[in-house]
Amino acid sequence: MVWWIELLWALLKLVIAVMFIFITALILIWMLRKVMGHMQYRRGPRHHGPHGIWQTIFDAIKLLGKEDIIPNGVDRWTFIAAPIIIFVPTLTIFAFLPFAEKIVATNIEISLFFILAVMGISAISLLMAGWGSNNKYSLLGGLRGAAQMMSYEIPMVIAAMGVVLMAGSMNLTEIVRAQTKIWYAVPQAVGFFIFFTASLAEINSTPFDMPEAESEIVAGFNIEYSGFRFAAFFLAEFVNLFIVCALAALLFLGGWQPFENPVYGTIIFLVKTYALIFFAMWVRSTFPRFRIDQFMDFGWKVLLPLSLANLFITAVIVLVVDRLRGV
Amino acid sequence: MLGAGLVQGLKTTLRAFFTKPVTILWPYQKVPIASQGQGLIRLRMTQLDPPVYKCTGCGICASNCPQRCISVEKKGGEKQPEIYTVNYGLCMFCRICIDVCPFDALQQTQEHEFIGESRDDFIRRKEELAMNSVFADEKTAAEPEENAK
Repeated sequence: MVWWIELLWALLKLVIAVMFIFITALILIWMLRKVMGHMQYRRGPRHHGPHGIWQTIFDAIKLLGKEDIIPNGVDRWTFIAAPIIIFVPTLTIFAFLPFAEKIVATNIEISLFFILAVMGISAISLLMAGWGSNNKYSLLGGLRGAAQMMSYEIPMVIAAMGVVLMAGSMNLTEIVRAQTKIWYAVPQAVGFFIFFTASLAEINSTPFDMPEAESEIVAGFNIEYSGFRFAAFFLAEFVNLFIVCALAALLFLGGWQPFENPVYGTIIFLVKTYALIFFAMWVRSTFPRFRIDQFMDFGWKVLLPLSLANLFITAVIVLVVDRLRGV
Repeated sequence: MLGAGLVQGLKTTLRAFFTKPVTILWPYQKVPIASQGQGLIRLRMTQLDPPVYKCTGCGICASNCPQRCISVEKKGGEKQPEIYTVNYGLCMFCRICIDVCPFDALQQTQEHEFIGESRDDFIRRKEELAMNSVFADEKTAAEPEENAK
């Protein structure tokens, strides 16, 4: 192929990915408002379009149309770079996320490892936003965000390692293929619990929304942000929710199983993902926020030992089964 | 059991999710207010044209009003009010004026939604007070024009 056709093709794919991300985020924001509303005996948005479906689009337009305010005294470049950096892992991960048997932009052997590694970048972005805002609450929020992401990433990754041991691969497509007989949510129930809990903490969703914690530190790292920079944080939060739920669906709920067909596979995969997202929103509208010390205790004293035990037991069982089979 | 409270909480919110919302879509839907609910008062009339009010302009309501929001002046030589105004910016809807009126000239209505752009908009004259309908859903034809002013 001529180089410019290749370039255009790549750009087109990028545009499609960005559109998908934006639409997903808008749908998720609408869904959260609806689910949360109904769980509080309210109705949520209902005026624009059927069941208020256009509401978030208008909200996004409003946010994008706002004046771009950069307060005096902020660390200018850090302040500007933070909302851009939060989108980098979000956008990158979509390239490695398989939607069905052959629907994946880039199929590498260590896609799970890569995704888990790249997800950690958002901690830097929170820290930059917190530091760059030059505001005590922002700084607290940023530091909390960094602490939270570092402590919960470990149990999350270790819980995912249980699945890797069972599947014998770090490729997400291979992991899904290995779940033809049984979804890993059954043998890895503890791992599923740990992974899902830790990933909720990873994306700062309530009850783990320490970095934002409205009632304690106003809005944490995004106090000083407004307009489209705030929108970037907001959208990234919801896209990350999609990503972790998709990852949980791939690792533990069999991804696109039982369908090999790309269309049905994608549909069933999205159904599973949205079911998990609904569960996350359900949790979000049920539980109050942890206190920061309880939260750290829970991460280091409960989830980490539990995930290590889970990994160890899985490893022993896999070893024994492999020996018995004579592999 | 460990986590029983968490499950209980999840159950509660799920039940709420499948229950009908309790919010009322105001102003499309209105909550019916109780029959004893207090709203604007209405001056009763015995004749429309020329207007004859049941009120004699005695001023008992004005002197009993705890908020001093009613002002009455009697017409010279007639048992009719010359001026009868209620300042709803002050009124606390206590109903005392209705209870003390010896001529049964005042009536309770259920009109409780009224807005104004200035404080003067809340001062209602006797003609406006006579227009108030007894029930909130029972709009008279003249009323929308009256509000448009």
